[in-house]
Amino acid sequence: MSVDDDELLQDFLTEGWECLERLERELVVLEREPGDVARLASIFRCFHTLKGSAGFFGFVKLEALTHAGEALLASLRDGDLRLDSAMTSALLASVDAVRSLLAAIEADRSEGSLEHGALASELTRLASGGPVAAEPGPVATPSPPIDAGPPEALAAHADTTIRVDVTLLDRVMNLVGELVLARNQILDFVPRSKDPAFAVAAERLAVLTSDLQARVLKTRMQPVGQMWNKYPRLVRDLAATCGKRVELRLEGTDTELDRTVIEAIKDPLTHALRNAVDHGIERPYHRAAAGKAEQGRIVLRASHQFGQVLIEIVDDGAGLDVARIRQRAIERGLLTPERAALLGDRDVMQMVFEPGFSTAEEVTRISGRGVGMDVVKTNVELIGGTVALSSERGRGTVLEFRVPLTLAIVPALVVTCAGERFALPQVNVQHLLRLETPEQRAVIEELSGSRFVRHEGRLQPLLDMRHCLSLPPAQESEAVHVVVLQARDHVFGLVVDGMEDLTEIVVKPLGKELDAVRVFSGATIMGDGRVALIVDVMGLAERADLIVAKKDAPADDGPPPTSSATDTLEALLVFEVGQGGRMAVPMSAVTRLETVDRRKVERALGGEVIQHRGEILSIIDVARELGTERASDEMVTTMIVCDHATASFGLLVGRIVDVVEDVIVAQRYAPHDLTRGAAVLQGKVTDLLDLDALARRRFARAGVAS
Amino acid sequence: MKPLQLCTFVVGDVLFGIDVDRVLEVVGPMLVTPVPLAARAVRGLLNLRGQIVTAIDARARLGFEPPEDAAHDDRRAAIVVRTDGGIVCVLIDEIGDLVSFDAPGEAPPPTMSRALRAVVDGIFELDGRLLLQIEASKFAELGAQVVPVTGEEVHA
Repeated sequence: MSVDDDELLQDFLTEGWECLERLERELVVLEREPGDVARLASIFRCFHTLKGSAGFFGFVKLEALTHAGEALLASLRDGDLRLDSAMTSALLASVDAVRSLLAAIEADRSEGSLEHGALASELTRLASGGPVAAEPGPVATPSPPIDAGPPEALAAHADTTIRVDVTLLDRVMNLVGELVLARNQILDFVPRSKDPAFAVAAERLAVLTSDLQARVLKTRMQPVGQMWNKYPRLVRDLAATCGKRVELRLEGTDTELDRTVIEAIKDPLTHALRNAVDHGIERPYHRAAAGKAEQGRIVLRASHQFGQVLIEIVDDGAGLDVARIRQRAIERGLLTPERAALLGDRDVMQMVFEPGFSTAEEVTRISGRGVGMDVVKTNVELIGGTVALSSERGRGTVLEFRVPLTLAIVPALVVTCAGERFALPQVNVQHLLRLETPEQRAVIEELSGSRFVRHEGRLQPLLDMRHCLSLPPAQESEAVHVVVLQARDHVFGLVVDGMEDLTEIVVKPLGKELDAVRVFSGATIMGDGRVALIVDVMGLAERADLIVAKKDAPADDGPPPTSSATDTLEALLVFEVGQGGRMAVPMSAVTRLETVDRRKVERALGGEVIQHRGEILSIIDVARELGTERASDEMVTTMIVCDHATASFGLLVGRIVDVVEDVIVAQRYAPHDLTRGAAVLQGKVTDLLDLDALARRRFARAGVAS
Repeated sequence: MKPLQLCTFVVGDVLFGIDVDRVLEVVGPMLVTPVPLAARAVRGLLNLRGQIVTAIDARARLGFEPPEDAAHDDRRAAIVVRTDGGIVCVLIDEIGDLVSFDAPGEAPPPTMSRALRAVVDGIFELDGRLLLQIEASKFAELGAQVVPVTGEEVHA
């Protein structure tokens, strides 16, 4: 094949792919509005164009197939036939066949070995399927005269756009970044220069450079619609498989997003749509019985909001069955019955994001295999996005993704540690603490070698960045800087040397030589031209053993995990109760540890209380509650201040033993109705105190509604 | 056969060469940002006209002692090379000339140190001196060295 032919073939393929994209989109709309003559004509033209080019290049299979499709469309256009779903399906099937043919041609310039004769015959049969035709028409029916003008929308589009290699765009981005640095250097000279014209020129350079940078960033953006075009087809096919009728409406398709973000949310979005069709929308007769239109509707909407992109998937289906989710969460061991009873509906709904959770009554081919919403959530969070869910029984469900506009530029907090700068992505930063006085530093607690920081009423692990990165320890200084970070569901504090500002950084990848270092996700170039590393907060937490690295997703049809369904370790505070007994409570429930004098315990109508730090705190003597003897008659004892779902209370216990992080193996023995079973922690049997049960008993006795 | 062109450089007291097709440029001293927890041979990251490049210390990588004079260390030359895995910057002691050879070099003898045998492709003789040809991609393969929290280095 000559070079000229090669170019022609490339043009043909480009045109072919564009035709396919249009066909797919328009066929689905046509099914909804079969009387739309203009659309029918446009679809017809696509088939005609494909047929013509296929004939020119001698691709006989493609020619025969598109000819048969064209014949059917001609009968439809001329009003001899009316579009039914069998025809739509056959036409969509032919679109698939054309796709595989084009792919084969693109690969090796041959049409491949797949035969599409049966499909062509089916199209021909449908084309002649009117009441008059008795026998299948021959494949070589002369095509009716057509108006084969160029598809005008396509032509207009081609006039204003060109294809550019992404690597070229990346290079332009790098150069603009360099230009920004050069500008900064020039601006440094301005105060030293006596010539006012120089200042004016420098200012102009500054403005132009910023403008250029903003525009270059825009070149990487794409309207979401380009990728969403395939969803109407997906939803249609899915609905047909489920015996449902569903219309997908796309809104805000011109909302622009970085292509890497579009790519990253493709899978979560597809999954969410499948879920909406499979579990959300009810069957037509159910809908009719509920007084709704038989055809369900899903709206996929994109919009800009506060510098982020909001993507909503709204369905008008059955909504979430909160009671069923509650029950399921208990069955799967994700919630204790007590905890489930206390949680509000909105909180219960969030359980669908737990790993291994699925409420589908029947496992269908499409979804309901137990891997689902947790993966959706993880994938969206991976790119710094969030997922939210709300639902109203009988009215429908709204799933919201909030994602950044781009992954190339992220807002980050710049901190210093051992003389270097590091960037912490802002999505992970919850709070900044500058602790100067000893009183302020009281939020840091030390328990058997581990340090914790009190944040929003909870004790969270406290890491030292120097220690995590094996850097030399810091000199003692007056002020302690703590950044409270969040990685997935884990919150922890990080001690740094100092904090600089919150700034937008351009993320650049690290070389393969640094693959083994998991705590950095990339690097960026600072205003002075030097490189700063970007901390992968998740990787840092994993390195510090706060979170166990996620294992591979569970096998598809495997039984759900029975004990604790999470793969994270729970930190437990272990203490002594009575004569040598060991008990533990989850560290996440502990607000602080205090030393109190038993003589200060007072009796009030609400039971035993203690005045402490200006508040009245209900207390529970754990040993007495369990009916065991206290270890000693010492009056000074340890109090664990716990934050229960509805109230704070203090637990009077014996000695604090340790804080351990161990896989919880809840042994199936129940020595007491105030325990959740027992675990082997550090080789010793430790009862797990059930705070819910304890609080219920305590407050029920006191006559306080909880 | 196309003659083999090598860009030569000195590390310690040994003459090395690297295929000139792999060499993108020779650069002067640059500011390097250290990478905590990285393999010992990684000196850090530098900004090469907007691209972030890992700087690998040839002395550490090839098993030489660090220079006695730490101040001298920052003034060493560097060559930017293209490896199969991307671009890296190699910190060397001194840059040499371009030399051509018509035949491939000898295979490295088993008596050569392991650090060198892992990266040396061939040995040539030049003016009575040995010249070791380094394969750029193997040079940039540092393996998975991770420093544990306790601060001691382990080799995975």
